[in-house]
Amino acid sequence: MKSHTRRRHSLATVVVAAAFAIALAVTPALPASANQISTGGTAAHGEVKYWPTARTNTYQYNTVRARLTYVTPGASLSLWVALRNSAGTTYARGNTAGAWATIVNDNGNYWNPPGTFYLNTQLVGSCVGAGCAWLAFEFDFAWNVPAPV
Amino acid sequence: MDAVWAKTTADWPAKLPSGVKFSDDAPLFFHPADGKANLFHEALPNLIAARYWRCAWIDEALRGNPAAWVELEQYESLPDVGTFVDQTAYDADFAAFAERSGSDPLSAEFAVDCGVFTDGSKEGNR
Repeated sequence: MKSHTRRRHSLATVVVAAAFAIALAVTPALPASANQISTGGTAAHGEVKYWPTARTNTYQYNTVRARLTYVTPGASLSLWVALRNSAGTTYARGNTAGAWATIVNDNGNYWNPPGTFYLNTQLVGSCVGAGCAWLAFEFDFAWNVPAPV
Repeated sequence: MDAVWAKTTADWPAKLPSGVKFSDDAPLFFHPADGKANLFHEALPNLIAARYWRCAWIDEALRGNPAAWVELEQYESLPDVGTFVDQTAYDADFAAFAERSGSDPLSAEFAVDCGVFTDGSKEGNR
């Protein structure tokens, strides 16, 4: 019998869909089997969004990267992007302020192992004022890119 | 999230293999110990439950239970799976990965994508 016990945390966790707006666009510059999207949404400053789409790295060594392309005008923020597997381990992270940033594995490798992950994003940096409760952002995201190992 | 998870699994439309059940509390996926404000998409409880369900039946299939293959055909009809999982692409991904790694697709999937089923009892989430 498989039954799991869980630690409870006093975190503010909320379930929403309306704040997620997803758009897809394919960029042809990557290898045929690599994947890239342009997507975006809204979030409060500092809030971690857990995205629903499962994505899969299929190479032994996979490059994953992200590039922030838009954030609400006047907000000087960067985008933290992380990969989380279904088992609940966040295992790779990166930060982009505009340029492509590699999502680095927590073990220090610039490649990530095969498997399916879910995206986590967070707008980080200084933000003051009522507008920080609703920030729009867009970013490019590429995964399943064969890493030069 | 535990209450959402309890409702999700109580209403789950497909059976699990004999002797397998969903956890009472939400899996570690929904309990990040990062101290941050976390906003989970509303489809995620269904999607993580569906992944657990799929892995349970893959485990059965790999143990030689022929009924598992019939059950697995339901996967794409599970709640939110058709919307957020591109199963055709996923199958192609794992066929390619299995070929590169010298495995079969189901074994490859179970090895790298079933942590929610095989590791779900581990603590120490980050």
